[in-house]
Amino acid sequence: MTPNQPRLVGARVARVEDPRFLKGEARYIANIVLAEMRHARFVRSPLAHARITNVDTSDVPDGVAVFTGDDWAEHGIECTSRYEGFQPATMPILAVGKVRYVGEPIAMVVADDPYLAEDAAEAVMVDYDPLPALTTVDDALADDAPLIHEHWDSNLYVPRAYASPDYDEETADTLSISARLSHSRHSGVPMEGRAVLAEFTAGRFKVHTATQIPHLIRTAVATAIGLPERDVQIVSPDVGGGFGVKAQAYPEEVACALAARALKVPVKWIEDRREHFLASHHSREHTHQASLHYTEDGTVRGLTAELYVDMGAYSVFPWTSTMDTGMAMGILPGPYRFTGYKVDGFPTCTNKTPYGAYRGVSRPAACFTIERLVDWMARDRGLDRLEARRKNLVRQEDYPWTNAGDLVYDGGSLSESIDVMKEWIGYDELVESLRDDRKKGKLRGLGMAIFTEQSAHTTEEFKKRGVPIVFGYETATLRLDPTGHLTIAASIHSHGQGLETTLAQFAGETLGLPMERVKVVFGDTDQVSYGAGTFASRSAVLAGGAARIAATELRQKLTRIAAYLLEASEADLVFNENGVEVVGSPGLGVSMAELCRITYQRPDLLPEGELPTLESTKTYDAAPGTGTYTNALHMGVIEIDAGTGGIDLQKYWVVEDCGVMINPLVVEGQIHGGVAQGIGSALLEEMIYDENGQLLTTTFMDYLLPTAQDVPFIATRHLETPSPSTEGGIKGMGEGGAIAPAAVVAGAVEDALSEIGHVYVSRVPLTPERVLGHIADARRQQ
Amino acid sequence: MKSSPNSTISVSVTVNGTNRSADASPRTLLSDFLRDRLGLKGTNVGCEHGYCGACTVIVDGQTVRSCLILAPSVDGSDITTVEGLASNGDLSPLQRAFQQAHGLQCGFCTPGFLMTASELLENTHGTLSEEEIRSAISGNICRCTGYVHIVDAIRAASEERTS
Amino acid sequence: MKPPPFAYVRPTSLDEAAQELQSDDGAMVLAGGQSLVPMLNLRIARPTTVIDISRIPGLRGIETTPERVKIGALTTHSDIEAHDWPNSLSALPEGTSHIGYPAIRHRGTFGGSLAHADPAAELPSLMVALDASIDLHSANGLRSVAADEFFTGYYSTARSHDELLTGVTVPVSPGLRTGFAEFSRRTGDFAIALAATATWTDGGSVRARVVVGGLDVRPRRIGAIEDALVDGGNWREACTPEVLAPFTEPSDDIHGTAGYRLRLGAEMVRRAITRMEGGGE
Repeated sequence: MTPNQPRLVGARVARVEDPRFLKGEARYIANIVLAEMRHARFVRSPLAHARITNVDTSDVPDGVAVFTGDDWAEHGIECTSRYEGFQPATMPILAVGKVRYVGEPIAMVVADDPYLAEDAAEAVMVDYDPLPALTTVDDALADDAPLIHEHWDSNLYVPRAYASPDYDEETADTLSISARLSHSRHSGVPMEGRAVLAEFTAGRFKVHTATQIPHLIRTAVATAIGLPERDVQIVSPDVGGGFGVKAQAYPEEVACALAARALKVPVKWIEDRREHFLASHHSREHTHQASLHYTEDGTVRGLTAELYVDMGAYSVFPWTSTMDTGMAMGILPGPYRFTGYKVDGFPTCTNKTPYGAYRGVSRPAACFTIERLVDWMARDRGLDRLEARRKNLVRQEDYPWTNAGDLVYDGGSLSESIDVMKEWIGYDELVESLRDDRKKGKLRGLGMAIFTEQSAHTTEEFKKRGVPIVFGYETATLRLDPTGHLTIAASIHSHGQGLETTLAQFAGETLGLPMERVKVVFGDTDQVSYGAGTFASRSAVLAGGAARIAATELRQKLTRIAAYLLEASEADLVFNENGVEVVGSPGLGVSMAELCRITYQRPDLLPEGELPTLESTKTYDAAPGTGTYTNALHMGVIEIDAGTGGIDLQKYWVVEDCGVMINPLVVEGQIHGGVAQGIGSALLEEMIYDENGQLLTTTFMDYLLPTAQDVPFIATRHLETPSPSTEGGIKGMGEGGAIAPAAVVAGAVEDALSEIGHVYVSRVPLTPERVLGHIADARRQQ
Repeated sequence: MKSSPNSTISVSVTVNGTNRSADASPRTLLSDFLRDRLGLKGTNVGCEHGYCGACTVIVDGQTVRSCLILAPSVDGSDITTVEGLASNGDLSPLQRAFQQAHGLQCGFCTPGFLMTASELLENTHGTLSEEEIRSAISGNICRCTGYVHIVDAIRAASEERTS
Repeated sequence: MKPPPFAYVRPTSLDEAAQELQSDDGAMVLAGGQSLVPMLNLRIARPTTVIDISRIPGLRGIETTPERVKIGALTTHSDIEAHDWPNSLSALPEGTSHIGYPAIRHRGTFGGSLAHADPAAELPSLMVALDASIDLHSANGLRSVAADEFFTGYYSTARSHDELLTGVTVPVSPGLRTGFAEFSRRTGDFAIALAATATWTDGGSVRARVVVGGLDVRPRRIGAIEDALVDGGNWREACTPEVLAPFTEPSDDIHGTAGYRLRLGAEMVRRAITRMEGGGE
């Protein structure tokens, strides 16, 4: 029974994909059983930096297959940036000669079940010659630091630099405030770990893998193995969360494929949670040395920054290890109008797990930096924090506005969001009441952050980023079958975003089809034409756009055929749930089923020259290619327990504008989920390495994810500034929720302590111990 | 009688109302027994150390972490998994409430939440408060939803049973 | 993260269980499994044999007389929560409610938690605060050990390998009051610091126990604060890290430095005693 819902854009349609997940019938890779399937387990480096001197597999039980680095030394995953001076290093499938991070795979065993595989893996004995472990950016960039990749000149992937032409002029004669701001190393940590099930049959690989980027994985696997892409099929079925962690190519994917070919049986690998912390890519670890330059009246004139990003041991595919640094450089100026800007970026190689994408990709750290600086400027100038922001924001009349980091903001409702928020939450009264609470000794405070989210950026943007593959489009193939049912095969991947529903809402509408007649498929590279996948808040816009363009082509064709069959004028025809009808002539029409049947099975009835096909493949590269910008303002109220340093996040509000919404339920869900992850960044999540490069946080006892008692009710309000350039005026918004919470909580802590003293919160997560440190700082000022 | 490490033990349980029996080794976790020996793939495994709640099932009337139970130790028990909630393919009121409220995104944690919510509804009356719900589900981690719609779903299910 | 191989036996009597333990040096006891099975899955524990005592009759239940409460080792944490305790023992269900989550408490056992002796666990500190005695059964007979002597170190107790913890006896008296407080990063996590307190007032005399957990490898009594309670002195002033320091040996780990633990411990003691004396917080 499908939900009886309207199928319009803007409707809160319950998701059509839900039943299989609710009933426990989802097709996660762990649930796939193939005949003769065997189970893989990886032997992983226990050292952060060492030469491998011996690998002894003689104790591995008979019947268990073993593979080591030498077996696959000619294969690897490479991702080289086009930036001048980028130092490349191929990620091996199994380490050869050297290990560069704890958790790096060195060997692989394949046994009859996962229990035996784990036993067998313990029987592989590896000898190492330890090398000094470089566990911080400072260590890695020191003059005498050993080289992690010995053919390099330094441990810097590539230096980046940018300065606006007016930097000197704008920052002359200004006040300034400087700080060192940092985000911990942490990552998306989806509830389903990584998973691969590889088969090799009749010269072709079929690799099931839990990935957000099926076609790009096909490229990586085919390249690594040395085959035409035609001979590799990637199938990403149901995936239990990604958030960017599953948007890189991993050696385990290639390893399982090679093992399946060597052993002639399907090989399955299900990552366990410990492995996930060690070997699924990390993110977020930025340290910014930044200064804000402003005038006495609180007008921001310029920003100077050095960005240090700890990218771990290898460059990741398909982003290269320049992604976070480059993106941070562009967005660091935030939604503000100032133009003076000088920034240097240092994506650094260290002996840690490689660093990949995670929701927001550098923007959480960038938003934290600029919003903290603006808060401190407001405090210094005695301005209300919201008005200090408003004064400096890009205004309606400025659009399209090229920011100081050369990003083109195409529209938004920044100042308007402040007005809406103030009225909605009763800002002035709230500020007063918090002040009263503080005078009575409570440590309660309000924090805020305003930002934009670049979304659906395509060719022009990715060209600038120097990535070897420019993710310039997504692809949709629409196919109507002889019974009038539509399949949309899209190059994206839905793993929580509800695209099976929203794409059907967005594109099905063009053909007047009710939801039950539209099916969205994705994930199988044999079924779907080439595209990039789901990341960077782009799927609804780009796959939706491509689908809508393809639907429009089909509609035009069906219009011609229907007009011919009904002997009506094309202009008089309307598409609705009855099929195609003639306006003003009730009863005169043809059902979609009949129209499709005729097209395929009665070509004799078709107009001259009309082909008996109902299929259209289109790509969409949303103009102008530099992205369409969502904006949001977040606010939160916290209370600190002075005895423990614990923070109670009591209230959280979001005013956001993502243009035209396809499905408000889905939009809210994305905001809530993003905010929850941002709360994790603000309060809980931290991957902690010791000085030897050992990762100390490898279980959920040590790495803390927010629970239902850590995340408050998140109230949301929507504004709607349609994108000026995308199909349907929609914008991407999946990442935004995660961008602001760290800045919000930090600001709230400072506000909460403001009765006692002025503190500068420049580091997250705000663990209880760190909060007590801030309280002590505040008290020292009394 | 001691079972050696390599031996198999026959484990018989009633699952979702049906008697089932299969072999397990002494170390087979209940989560793997349900999934691999009995073919009930609906229970997902997220951490294997009892923290995430994805593997939550009901044993002898109480929610448990199936990843923290050795299958032989529940020989003879009565087990309910997510597959036991829908009847004749129709979603239960609780499952429908999750769908209506958009209480799931990737779905991986959902079976665990459904079992926890089932128990909460079973042990309480009337419309549940936000606090009661959040407290009851604090042992189930969701990485996608931010919990707001999950709370909405459980509240709606608790309201529905009252009316 | 699958367990390593082990033999499995499920005895149906205490004697059978004791014999199994005695005959196998590498055997480990499985009760609710909520502490042992994670260790098996992480391969931190590698027993030769797992002795599953969950079906041994007579070990589950709470038996109350005017002078004492006997709690059987297989009593689950949710049994403890569900029981109708007198106000005097309110700290026990209060502390128990902090153990993990409902699904953990449905299986985790009272005896299992005590035998496991995690330095940050609630029950060991509570047993010391309540001056309980712990019953041990072996092939050689029965003995009881005072909680003060039972918790000897980091995950270690006075239980010898061939003994089974069968239950606990908690003395009760009309003048007993108890209090409990704990701080963890999230609900259900292991405490960074906790405090369990008890006072007995009998006519004019007062006895007190103030116990902190998470500040050492085992529960520690803070004699200085106990003395303040007994003497009717200003116990609040004594709730400081400086007072706690000589009685404890906290260490640094990723959840908190030693200094932070001392501060937190002092605060938890303050809150536990405040609650014990009927104040809210």
